[in-house]
Amino acid sequence: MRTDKPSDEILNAFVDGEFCPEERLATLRQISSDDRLSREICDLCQIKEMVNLAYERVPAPPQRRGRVRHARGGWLGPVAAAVVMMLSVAGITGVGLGLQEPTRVTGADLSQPLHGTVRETSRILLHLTTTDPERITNMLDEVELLMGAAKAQGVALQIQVVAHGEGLALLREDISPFPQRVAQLSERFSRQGLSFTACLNTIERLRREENIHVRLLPEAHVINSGVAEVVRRQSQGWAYIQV
Amino acid sequence: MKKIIVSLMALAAVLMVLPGTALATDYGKQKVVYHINGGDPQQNQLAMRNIQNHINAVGAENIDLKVVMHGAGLNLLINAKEDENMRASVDNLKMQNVSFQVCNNTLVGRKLDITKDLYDAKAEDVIPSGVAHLSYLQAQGYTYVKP
Repeated sequence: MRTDKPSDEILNAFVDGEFCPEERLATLRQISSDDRLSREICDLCQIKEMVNLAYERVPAPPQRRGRVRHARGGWLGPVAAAVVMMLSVAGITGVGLGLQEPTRVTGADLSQPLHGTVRETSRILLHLTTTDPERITNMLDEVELLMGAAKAQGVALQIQVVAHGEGLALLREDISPFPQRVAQLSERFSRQGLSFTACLNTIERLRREENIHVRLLPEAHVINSGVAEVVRRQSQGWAYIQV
Repeated sequence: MKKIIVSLMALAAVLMVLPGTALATDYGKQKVVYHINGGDPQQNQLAMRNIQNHINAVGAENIDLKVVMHGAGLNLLINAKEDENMRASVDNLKMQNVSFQVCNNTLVGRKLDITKDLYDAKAEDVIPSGVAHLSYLQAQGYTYVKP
């Protein structure tokens, strides 16, 4: 495998979430070190979304030629694009949003700083793809500790949970193992920067393939694609953690 | 004639070596964090193999590799106390400068004693929070891998 430019096969495996750790590593390294590649991946994801969507007979969008994201979803697309734009411009000129927020989030019980440190990411994406209650509990515990500590210390911390594939269960009204926990955490921390997001692709797939009409917990927000979100957030400098 | 054969053999040797070296130099220096939060022994054994393969591909001298464990992931070091293979894998990786870091929140939550319950863990291996530490390492330029 060469490191200068990943093959289409690898990019697609990446977008489809089918890479092995080595490929994922190589691909992620390149994405993180290459702005243009990040955008390419982003586009690739959106194209994939569009293709998926095209086969779902979605009501026709308002007549408008053009970019994938316009057709995709109302006002969210352009706004997201604008945010991405702002972020990349900010990144290039060295005034990343991260610098405007207090970026020091110290360790969890947070009486002591992590390795006495430098800059730490204050934006974390938790990619939830499992139904394993132990992992989910552990994740929710960590979220609570971190958000609580950040609040107590008055530092900014954003955590976005992306529920995707099997992981969507956490946010489903019918089968969520911890609906009250999600409600409590949202109530305490959503204004501070905690969000629970559900992948629309997964919802659509459940409807299409299993005839399940998903109803989400009231705290959940819908995002177009879990995979695209994961890639986009990483290209914006968010830390990525798979639950 | 002999000379030709010798030079052909030398050429063959070079050709056999080249692909390997090309691969190794391609990767350059790497900083990587492996995230383990699952307790399944087989899966964790596979993860150890992933890590070894990763080191082989990049070269031990080119890689700074950490394993961050939290939640059920601590089972890796708990099992290593009993499981000879796991112990050998951990020892082996440690000799290649891999560090195994354990989450304090989990230690407290599961009431674990690092010296008694975990295999070869020390106070300096303890990190306050798995999630915070993974995020911190990524901000330091570590690539995140979830085996």
